[in-house]
Amino acid sequence: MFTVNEDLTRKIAHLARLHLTEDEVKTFTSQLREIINYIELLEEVNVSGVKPLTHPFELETPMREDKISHYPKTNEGKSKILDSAPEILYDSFKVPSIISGE
Amino acid sequence: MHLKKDLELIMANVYEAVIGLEVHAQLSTETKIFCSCQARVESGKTEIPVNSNTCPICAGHPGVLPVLNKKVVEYAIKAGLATGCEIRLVNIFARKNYFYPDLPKGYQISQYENPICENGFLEITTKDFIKKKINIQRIHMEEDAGKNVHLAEFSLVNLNRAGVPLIEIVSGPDMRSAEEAGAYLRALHAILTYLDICDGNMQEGNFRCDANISIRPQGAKEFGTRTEIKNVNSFRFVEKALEYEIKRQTDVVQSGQKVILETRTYDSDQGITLPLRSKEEAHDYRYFPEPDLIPLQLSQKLVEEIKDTLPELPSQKKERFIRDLGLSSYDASVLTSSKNLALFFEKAVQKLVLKGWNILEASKPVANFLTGEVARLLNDENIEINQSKLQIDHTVDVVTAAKDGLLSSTGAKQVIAMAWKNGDSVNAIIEREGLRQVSDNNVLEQIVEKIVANYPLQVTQYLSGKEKILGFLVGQAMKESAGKANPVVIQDLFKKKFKGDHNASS
Ligand SMILES: [Zn+2]
Repeated sequence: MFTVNEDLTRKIAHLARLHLTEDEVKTFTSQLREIINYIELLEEVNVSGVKPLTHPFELETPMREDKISHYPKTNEGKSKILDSAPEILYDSFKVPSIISGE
Repeated sequence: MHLKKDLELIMANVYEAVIGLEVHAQLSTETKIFCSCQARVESGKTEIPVNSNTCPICAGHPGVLPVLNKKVVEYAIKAGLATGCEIRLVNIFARKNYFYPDLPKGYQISQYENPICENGFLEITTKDFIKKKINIQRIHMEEDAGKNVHLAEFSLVNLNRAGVPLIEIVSGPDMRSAEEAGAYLRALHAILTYLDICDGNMQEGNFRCDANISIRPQGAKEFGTRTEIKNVNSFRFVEKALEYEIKRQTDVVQSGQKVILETRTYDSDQGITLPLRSKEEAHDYRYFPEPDLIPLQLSQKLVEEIKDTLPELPSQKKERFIRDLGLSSYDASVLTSSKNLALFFEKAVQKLVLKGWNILEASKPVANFLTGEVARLLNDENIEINQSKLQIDHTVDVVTAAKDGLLSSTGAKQVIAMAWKNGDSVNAIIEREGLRQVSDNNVLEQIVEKIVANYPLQVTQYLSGKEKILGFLVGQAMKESAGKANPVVIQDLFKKKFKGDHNASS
């Protein structure tokens, strides 16, 4: 069992790359605590002999054949996927530097 | 080479290494694991244009759904069956969450608690011909990430590789030396390429290895603190990186310090491992079942059907070569270590059989040809036989020429070296380099006469019972023929001549 406190809220926010103000940390800590307390009600249920359920429907996942189908290309022969990128350089997605400034 | 010597001393007395390997093998399917984008780039082909094999699914756009590629499941099951694993019939996928620009969704779809294959093993043979079983803990399916190019001010992302299917094969912590780790990797590589489910090119990243390594006092039960060596791109570098790391950890412990749990990288220029920038937080992947994929339900019937399609595996082929072709265990091991080499061998033997050779008579010289000079050249250049200029016909022609007495063993070596360099035909090389061995008795008899006339003292010694001197005379005759005489014929001619002389004089 773990305790929901402000440090936990900050850790979760960091993992999700969210910047929280100190006020927000307080707000979310109390909300998280309420949620966890509510979910903990399930601990009271006896689940011995019950198989874990990962999906509510008893379905089989559909599979596809291994056949290539290309996503549409522009007139210049480039993938249209690039159209939706905010910044492109040499047909690559341009993103902030990953290596420096860590 | 001091390193190796030090290592043996240290390891023999005080510490033992504990090594476990994680291999990521790209499956050679046509399409990606969860979308229909092209996945496979054939070895040696020019790289496909940046981001040309992408779609909203593998680029992680909101609202898209993954659909599993049937072939990925089939290939993963093949890998499991070939390594003696149990195959799980109900599979769930899991999300592994982390942020990196080459992972557009912010999570990788993988398998966590219930991998498709578990509890297998692989048998390796060490250089001392000792057999050892290495456990395979699990094999699971997952998607590859894209590739980043890091520039000074920003990074560039290419998602062609994002969503390419992988299997991750996790060994037990069962290896005790760099050499055993190398043997395991080679054996696993051979199995995956025999199965034809992975192209297996390490330089191109089809087959990637991460090594976990720790040391502990001999006989200890607990593991020491491990380091992980990431993404080393050749078998030899994996072995060298591990040798270095064993020595480094031993030095750390012996100087009273502690090994730090960290990820390291291998610098092949300096031959050392270096720590990768360590992240301040431990990995917190927060795995949970992938809600976008319903559980995968497989039938035992499907597993049986796939089992029936398994090809002959390296260990089976090796046994057959020994049993049916009369090869030595060593020759059979070398030939079956690579699918390409084994096929090359079988095709060459087949060609000789079609020319009327007995299969046993054909197998031995072809095996000698390939496991000697050719294996050395392949090893030196670190390539597969189909990447060399050597053709099956070279093998067939050299072996035939040697049998017909047209080529001496040194001549054969020269021909192989030249064919290796320029791919010319065996006959062209023999003629051009004047390597044709002379078996014509008239020519050779003249040479023998000449040597007998030139070395009367040695001839007398031979006739008085000093039989060893025959070797000297044959050597002189070979010299006289500029190496082109067939030594077997020369020796026979000397014997015949001396017998005749002996009979005449008595
Ligand atoms: Zn795609």
